[in-house]
Amino acid sequence: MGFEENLKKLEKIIDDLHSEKISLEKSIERFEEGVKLADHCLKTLDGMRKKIEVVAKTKDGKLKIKPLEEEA
Amino acid sequence: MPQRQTMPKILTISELTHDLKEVLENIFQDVWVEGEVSNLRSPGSGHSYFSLKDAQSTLRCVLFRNAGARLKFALSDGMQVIASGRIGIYGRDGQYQLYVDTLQPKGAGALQMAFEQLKARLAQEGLFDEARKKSLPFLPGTIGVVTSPTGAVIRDILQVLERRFPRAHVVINPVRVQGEGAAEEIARAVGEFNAWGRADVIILARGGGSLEDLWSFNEEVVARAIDASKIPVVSAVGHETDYTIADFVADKRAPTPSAAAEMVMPAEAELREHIDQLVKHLWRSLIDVVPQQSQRIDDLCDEMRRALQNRFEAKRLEADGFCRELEALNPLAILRRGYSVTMRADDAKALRSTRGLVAGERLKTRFADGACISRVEEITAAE
Repeated sequence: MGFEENLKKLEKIIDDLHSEKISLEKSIERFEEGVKLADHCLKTLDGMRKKIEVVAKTKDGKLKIKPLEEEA
Repeated sequence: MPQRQTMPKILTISELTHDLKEVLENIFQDVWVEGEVSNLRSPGSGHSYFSLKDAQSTLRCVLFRNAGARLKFALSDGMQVIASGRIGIYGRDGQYQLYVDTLQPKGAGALQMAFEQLKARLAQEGLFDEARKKSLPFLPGTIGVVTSPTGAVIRDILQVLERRFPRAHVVINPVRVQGEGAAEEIARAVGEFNAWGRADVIILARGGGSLEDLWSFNEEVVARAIDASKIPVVSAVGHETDYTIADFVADKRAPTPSAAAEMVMPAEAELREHIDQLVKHLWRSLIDVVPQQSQRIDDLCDEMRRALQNRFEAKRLEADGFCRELEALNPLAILRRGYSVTMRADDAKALRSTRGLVAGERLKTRFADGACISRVEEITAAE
């Protein structure tokens, strides 16, 4: 999912923006990229869904995954 | 007939052996004996032959393949053991020997010894090497859990996950975690997750218990399954003080199942906070960039102005130089300094010498502010 990579890239962009050498055009470009990455990370978090499942063994040895029946 | 009564009964060797066998085997059906293993041989049949000895005596022993397979540890010469079994006579040699049923090391328990032996062997093979350990995913999309589907362990894990990241995806592969065949089930479950391929990390968990209870996690088949797993494995077996072979092979060892859940899943609130901070930093850096850049423009303007000024100044100095030079060349300038020029009044030719001058001649003298006409009265040579 690249969540960690995205965070790392974002940190790198912030470092780059603090560098004296970067041009104004480039810094705006990098900034926009950073905003997109942060957005992407948050979307990843938002996109996760709670699911608790159990592996059931079928006779032919294939995995069958079904939701966990919660104890009453 | 009386002769016959006094005649000793003569037995064949086989008969005697058979009789002895009956007597001995009847008396020594269940013998427990301790001694040092020596002269151990394990030919291809899978049976093992060795002697047990103390300072004075030696007892031949046979360990049949079936009994041998039940041994948790590897037998070796010099080992002090306690053996149980029955005494029998091997007819061909007429030798009595112990048919070993159970065998355990003296002192340390059999399991303890098996543990140490397997640990040493797998360590030698490099299964515990740091270099082989995979790092855990930062944010696992799917967490595979191999454990008992009932009991405190899975409940603890789910509870911790619920607290840290309420929307986690967990797939439980239920197994027995102790008893005959449990190790194979655990190993198979790890393999199944790998075959399925969608778990990002696997937690191997079991609650606390005795060494015997935790034994499945000390079996080689589990160690091999963990080693072969392409998915990182976190082991959480028993209490903090319990170490199993699985713990050594796993990519990470957690002291408890709850700790494993914590290790595997970041806290959502912390993650969001972190991203928030990063975004704030991002804005700040952009805000920093603008004044930084305008400062740069100012600096450039200043520099340009300075450069132009310098250039202008240089030109001006040059021009001044020219002017001064011209001035110096202007004859009027000389007159202005108080000198004058004398000419013949007739031809206005400047006189450089008295030569050729005659008294009475008209001269014109040019000053800076005008001229006058005069007559030569007398000519003298320079003194």
